[in-house]
Amino acid sequence: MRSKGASASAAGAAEAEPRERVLGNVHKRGPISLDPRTVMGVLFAASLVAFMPKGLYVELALVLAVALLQALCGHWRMALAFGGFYMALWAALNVLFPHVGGVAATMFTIGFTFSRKIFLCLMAGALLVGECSVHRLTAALQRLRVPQVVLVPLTVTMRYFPTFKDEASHIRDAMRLRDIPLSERVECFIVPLIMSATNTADELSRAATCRGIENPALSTDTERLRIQAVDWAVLALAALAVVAVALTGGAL
Amino acid sequence: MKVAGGALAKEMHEPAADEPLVELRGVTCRTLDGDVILDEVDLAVRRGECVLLCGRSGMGKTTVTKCINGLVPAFEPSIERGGSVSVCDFDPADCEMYELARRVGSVFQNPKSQFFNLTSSDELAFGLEAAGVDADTIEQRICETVDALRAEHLLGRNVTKMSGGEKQSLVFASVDVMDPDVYVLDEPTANLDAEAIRILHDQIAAILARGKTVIVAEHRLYFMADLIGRAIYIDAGRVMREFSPSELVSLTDDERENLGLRATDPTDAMNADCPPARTGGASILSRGLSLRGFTCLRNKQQVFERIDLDVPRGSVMGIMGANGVGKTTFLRALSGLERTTDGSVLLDGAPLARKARRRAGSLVMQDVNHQLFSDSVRNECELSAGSEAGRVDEVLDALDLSRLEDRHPMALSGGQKQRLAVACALFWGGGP
Amino acid sequence: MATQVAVKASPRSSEGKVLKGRDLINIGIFTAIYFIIQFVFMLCGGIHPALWVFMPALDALFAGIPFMLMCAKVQKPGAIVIMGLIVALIYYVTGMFTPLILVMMAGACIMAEVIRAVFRYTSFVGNAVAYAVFGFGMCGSPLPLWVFHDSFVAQIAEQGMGAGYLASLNSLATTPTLIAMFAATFVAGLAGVYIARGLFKKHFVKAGLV
Repeated sequence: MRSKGASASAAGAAEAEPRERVLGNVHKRGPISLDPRTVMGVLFAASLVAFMPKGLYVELALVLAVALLQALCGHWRMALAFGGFYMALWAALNVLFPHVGGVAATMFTIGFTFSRKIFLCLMAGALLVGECSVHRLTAALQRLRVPQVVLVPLTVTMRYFPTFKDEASHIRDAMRLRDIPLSERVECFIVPLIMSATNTADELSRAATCRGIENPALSTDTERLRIQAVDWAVLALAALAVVAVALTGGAL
Repeated sequence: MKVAGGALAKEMHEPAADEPLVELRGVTCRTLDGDVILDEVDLAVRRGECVLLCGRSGMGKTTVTKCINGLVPAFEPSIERGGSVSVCDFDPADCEMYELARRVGSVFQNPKSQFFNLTSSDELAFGLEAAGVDADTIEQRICETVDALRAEHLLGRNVTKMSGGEKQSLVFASVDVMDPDVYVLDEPTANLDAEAIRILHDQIAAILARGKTVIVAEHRLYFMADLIGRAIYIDAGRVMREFSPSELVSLTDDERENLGLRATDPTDAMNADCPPARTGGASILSRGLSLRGFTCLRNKQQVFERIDLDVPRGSVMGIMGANGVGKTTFLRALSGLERTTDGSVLLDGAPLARKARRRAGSLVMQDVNHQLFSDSVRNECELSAGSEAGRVDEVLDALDLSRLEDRHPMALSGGQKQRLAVACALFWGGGP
Repeated sequence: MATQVAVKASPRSSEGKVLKGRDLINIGIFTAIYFIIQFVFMLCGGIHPALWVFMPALDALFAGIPFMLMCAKVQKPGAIVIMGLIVALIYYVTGMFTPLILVMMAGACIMAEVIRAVFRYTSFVGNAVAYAVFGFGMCGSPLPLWVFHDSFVAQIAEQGMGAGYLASLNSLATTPTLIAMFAATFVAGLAGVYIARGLFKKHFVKAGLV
């Protein structure tokens, strides 16, 4: 390797390199930045709490706590939006539906109640998706011992969503230009979509295989994930919250 | 350089400089049905050479690349290969694909289906990451590649927001990060515009300067003419001729036509002699299409300048311009696919609203795969023909599709699909 | 001739029962399509509780195509488990589901895998039944209505909905509707396979896709 490469060994790398780090480079938005595994831990805690009985104050405290976490990670708008969303949900369920009623009440009560129950999960999930790329997420899952046979297709699935959107809009355009009988519309939409998906699968397989995706070696964690003190603190608080809710049993 | 696992082979044995790095001897490929795709192909490529494989499509040049990068036989179970192939002392048919991946880098046609990650930096790391090379080494390799290919702009991007040309650059750079000895490129420019082709050309020049070996299958001769050491002409599965670069450039138009090769010089393509289009006159055409102050709006911004234009019936008009100036958007807007347009479109003097334009016009898209819906060529035409069903045979005949009328549209070759899309277009709005 | 030593596709890459890169990528792409179809109906499920209960059946009716294509492309153990796991994981990571869905998915996928293995992966009947069983995985979505029934009712009552509504909710979350949900899902799965088979015959086989 050339001269610049030689100087890039170990610790000196950061100073020698004028370019900022290319891999695992997370733009720190707020005062803290969390490892994805920590956010997954919070999510797990949220799912444990979801169906435990809890009083309004406890619920409010928990929503505020997760919103605070979002804000600390730099997602101020996300925190505000979820706060507003929660108030709207509460108002609909406690004021609007019981006292005004109507069709909406019978239709949406279950759905909204369910949303309220899993509200903390939604918040933690949004934070996880907002904080890290698919690549970072899979790196975290790999650290949690999820095997490659799951992570490779997961990456492909996530990668295919934008492609799917593109393909679908092209096909819709093409259909608009031709007078396709209503009865055949679904078929006309599905067939080119499946064809293109199959082609993509084939071409992507070729490209990925030629670049060595089948290598049995353990993939490098280029995200360089590290659990830090703040991660431990958040995880401890999450665990504490679960225990507290379980113990108070909805009394507060 | 600290490297793990699969790279150990690299230090085992380096062939001497004059020994061929890639060697095919008496290579024959046939399908299980007995069709011969390659017939006794001999090819030796030395380290540092740049070789162009040229010839008509479907005549075997892609199969030669597949024999080198291991896709034959790994991805073509129905092709049987005979003869011997040696690439950096590996037989691609007899080693794991990931072993070969460290020595041979491949770039394919379609930039949309070769990337694996949604973030460009992670895509650059992909190959070495899978090989388990340590993160600092990967980081360093990426920086070297980005510097060598002058591809700083590819870092830290969302891949889905990149243009086709940028995606292909990214694919090339990702392959280069792995630092292979041999680069195999199979029609890498097929989906690229002139600017992207120029960038690819410079990238290839950069790796050649580092002493890498490049094998390209292409039918666009011009894009590589100054880089190649020799061109090999393949026809009917055989190596028919070998050209030096100067011989290739000095082929006459007729000779080139006979060999089924495209222009070597980009300016040739611009030599078509045609008058400039009529920009809108004072009066609206009574027989033809007239545009007055026509533009397309996105986010309240004009995508292109307002257009005044007259196209008489029976005439053909071409639209040219650099990438991204709005050619496609113009055609989409004209066809009634864009939501908000301004100005007027008149056909034979009568104004056409958006929905009416969809019915009055037809559009053959860049990727015709999106617009073929039926289960046979004939049904595809009939779906479009409506009341003109009687003309199906005539149109199929005119486009040389009659013998294919029972085939599934998706089982056709690229060129045949395109002709079918044109055939369907001919039925719309009263036909030609 | 000496050079006619044929090198066939060696067993390392495509044969064998171990999932290779190409298989994983096929699984990934068809899972994406399955997920999208499934997600559309999930959103519909939010509109009315009855729709929610029968959402798994609607999924099963329309998502047969990607599933059957995946089965045709990947005739190896593990494909279905991975598909189910990815769907569940996406829902779980975005916070949209309870751990119940993970449990249901895992159970349904393992059953489907066993069925495929018994029928040796290539059989149409085997894949069809495997698909019908696979549909049970999504039943994990409305399952909290039964499993966490008391918690639901308590909260809805506390929120102030009238007794009439609670009564109708109680009548929805009964054992017969639970059985109906599973039965409908299974039958819709078989119907979904039938639809997929029609398209296979008309298009995919003819186009040389499978």
